[in-house]
Amino acid sequence: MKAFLFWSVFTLALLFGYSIETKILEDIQHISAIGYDYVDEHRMKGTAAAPFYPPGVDVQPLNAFFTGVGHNVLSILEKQQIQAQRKLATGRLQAFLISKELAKNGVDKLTDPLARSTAVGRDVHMAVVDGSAEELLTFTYPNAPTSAQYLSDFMEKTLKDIVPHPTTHAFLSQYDGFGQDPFLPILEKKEDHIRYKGLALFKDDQYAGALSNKDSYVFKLLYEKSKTGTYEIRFKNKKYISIENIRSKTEYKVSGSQDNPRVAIHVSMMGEVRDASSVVLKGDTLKEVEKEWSKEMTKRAEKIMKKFQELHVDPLGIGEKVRSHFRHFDKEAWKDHYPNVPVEFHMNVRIRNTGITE
Amino acid sequence: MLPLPPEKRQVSPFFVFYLITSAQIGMGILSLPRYIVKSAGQDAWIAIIITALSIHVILWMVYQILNKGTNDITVTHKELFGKWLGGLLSLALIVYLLLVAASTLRGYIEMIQVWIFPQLDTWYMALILSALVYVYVIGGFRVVVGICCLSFIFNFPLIVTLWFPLQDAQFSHLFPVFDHSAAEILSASKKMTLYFSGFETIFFFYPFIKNARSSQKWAQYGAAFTTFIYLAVTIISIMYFNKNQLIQTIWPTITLWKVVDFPFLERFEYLNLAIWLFNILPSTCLFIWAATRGIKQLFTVKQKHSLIVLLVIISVAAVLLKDREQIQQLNTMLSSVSFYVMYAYIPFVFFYQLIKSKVRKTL
Repeated sequence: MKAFLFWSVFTLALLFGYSIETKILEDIQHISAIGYDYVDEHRMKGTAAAPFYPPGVDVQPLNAFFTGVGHNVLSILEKQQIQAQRKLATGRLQAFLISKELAKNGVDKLTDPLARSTAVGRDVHMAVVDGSAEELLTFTYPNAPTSAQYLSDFMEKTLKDIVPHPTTHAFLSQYDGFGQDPFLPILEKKEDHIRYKGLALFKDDQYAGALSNKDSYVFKLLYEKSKTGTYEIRFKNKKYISIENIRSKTEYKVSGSQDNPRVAIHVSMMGEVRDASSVVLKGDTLKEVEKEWSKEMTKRAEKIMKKFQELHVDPLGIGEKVRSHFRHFDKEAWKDHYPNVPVEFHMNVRIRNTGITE
Repeated sequence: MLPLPPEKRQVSPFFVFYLITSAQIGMGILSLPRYIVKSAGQDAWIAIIITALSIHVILWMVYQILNKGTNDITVTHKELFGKWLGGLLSLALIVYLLLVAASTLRGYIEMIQVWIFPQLDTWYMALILSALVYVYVIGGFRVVVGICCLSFIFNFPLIVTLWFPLQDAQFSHLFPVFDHSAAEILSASKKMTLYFSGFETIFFFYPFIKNARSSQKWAQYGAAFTTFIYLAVTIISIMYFNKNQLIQTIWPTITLWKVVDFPFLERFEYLNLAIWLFNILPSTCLFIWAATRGIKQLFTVKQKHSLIVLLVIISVAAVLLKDREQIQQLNTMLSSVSFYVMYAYIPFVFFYQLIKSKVRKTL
């Protein structure tokens, strides 16, 4: 009895004698998407999209945006907070946008809180906005209730097939580490839609250049295993054939010595012809299409690689592959080597079928 | 001669497996990859294997010491070194176990403060945890074994979740193998010893195992299982993080869980931190039980009474550790202490006993 009394008092005292700040779902406002624009050398403008869900059944969320200008992410968040009706929380952040102009000045101060915060997830999608991030976020799009929802759907469902997964983790890991430079998709607001424009290439934390939409398709094939994407090739007599990628694999082979490394990238692809108007695909023609496909891909890959080496950026992570090949790797010397390293491409393509007609 | 525990207080030999794994795996695994990668880079996993092999040998020594003795370590100490010196050694071992328990407890509280409730006071959490430890330890050794067993079941799903970070892993991070010098790998191995500590509790619970001699097999399996978990976590961390990133991340293992994403649960790491209570609770219980048992053997104090005193001491110690730096200092200190306990003290007792018995035979 005495013990029971003791434990009851103990539990009650612990439960009611101590209060800790709680975060109750109904009492906070989640920031779903956040975007940063360039103001001047030291300041930036942050726009947070935090849709407000009014009480009731079957209500549509209200678009709500808060902007603030400051030196870093947290001081901007403070300024956004003093406009918001509820406590802003970043736990469900899904999209993180950086304007191109800001990216050109370096994104270092933006990424630190992403890595440090316990609240922000590691799979937040990041993107560069060509134009104003604020404009892209605050526009009312006709095809979604809130811009944040459109954006997060777009990044999660559409971009997934077009570019290698642009998450915070990938960005931070590429940015922090040796042997790879980060890259992010470029989005823009075109009329009343969001549109994917290409791939932004970073050198350290600064925007250094971009790949076009079509180039970024080849980039994905070179970068990782993929099961998506349609590629258009130009065939004889200005006929165009569209081939869908069923599955592709890529393999990097490093040879030579540490002072004189050579890299060969082997890509094997399997495709299906989806559109070939007025071309009969039989026997030899099919072989020719395969050859043409392989040739075009190699040409494009070589063009991309040349661009990377000219810009001194390494989004494919060739540095990392070469590092893992040689013991006692000299990281400083690699930086000078990189632009001159010969990179060969071997495209091994095969068309598996041609749909339900020949 | 101190009495041996009656059979109804004893447990089957295979429970030693759970006791060893839950004593060894505690707070350490959450920050483990970081410390060893700092010195051995991608070769860190070799360091784990080296330490693990040595641990198996030391575990064998521990069993040899206990098999030759008649009761637990306090009795063996007394037989080997006499009442005073032996008693002093036992007391030192008890203090060491208490320090490990305090560091585990404070580490868990710190983690909750950083990840979930920044406003949480250390004393409040220490009070709750001590109350929990009290409830389990007061039930006796068999209850402690029970919680160790349960923790194994609760924590098993956490291993499975390592599958998620594996999808983003870069295989090339592990190469080239043997890129670091033997000295670098060995210094990482040295850091590993603290993570394997905890099996010293065998010194105290040995008489509580039925057919204790036959339990060595299970103890070795337990240590091997711990090694497997450490290897899995380390290799996946190396593949998932970039080296610089891994060194800067304070709890790489929790950050690994950040990518785990279920349709019904967005942020898995918070659930994991709660489940982790069942990882630190059994090891703390086991350490404190071993300490109270040791005190009972030394001073014939009832375990019920010494338990309360020890819990107060541990809670006060936890509250006195104010910030990350002090916790770090305690861990660094413990790391070198556990190194000497394992590689100097245990072999010393082993060889001393061996020589003494040889000498006695020849006389």
